[in-house]
Amino acid sequence: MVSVEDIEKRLKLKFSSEDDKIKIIDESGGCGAKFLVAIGSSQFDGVSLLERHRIVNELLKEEISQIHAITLKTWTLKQYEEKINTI
Amino acid sequence: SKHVKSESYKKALEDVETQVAESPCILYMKGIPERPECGFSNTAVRILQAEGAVFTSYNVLKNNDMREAVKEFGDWPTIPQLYVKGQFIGGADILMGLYKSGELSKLLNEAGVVKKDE
Repeated sequence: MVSVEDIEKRLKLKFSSEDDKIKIIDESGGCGAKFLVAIGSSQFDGVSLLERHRIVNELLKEEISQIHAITLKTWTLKQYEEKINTI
Repeated sequence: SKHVKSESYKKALEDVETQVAESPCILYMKGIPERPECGFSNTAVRILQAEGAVFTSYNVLKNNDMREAVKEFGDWPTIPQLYVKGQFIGGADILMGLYKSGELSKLLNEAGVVKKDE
């Protein structure tokens, strides 16, 4: 059983700076475990959207294989500030 | 064991490689475009339709080997997955991001997989 804490722990292996932002929402329902994961980090500056997601997919490889669905938002710090209130 | 590839799985990997190479624009999804069987596959289909994309689809629910093979092939852990001109473009989240930014429209048009307006 994957939890918000499990996911956060994995993400913090890479997104460990004080500036990094992580927000995880458990949206699980009838279909099974489902999470929305939003990350804001300067590590995403200049990185393509695809590559950003690959970075997170790799970190969460074990968790993703156990859950029903995951939605990722991989934002720069600026994007995070602008968009975090839209979710 | 996950680490021992069955003959049918190897065949599936070859099939994915062939399909991706031969299809200008192909979406691996759950269900068919007329009846997607998960929210993310539905999102991917609607985006492609909104873009006027001409695409083929493969229903991974019909074949579990194919379902797993495409994940290995694309080095991407989830379904749906879009490939254009042999290139992996992304899953539902990526497609939504590219759609919103206008990059998907540009990409699809440059690949020549958009219906011509009449």
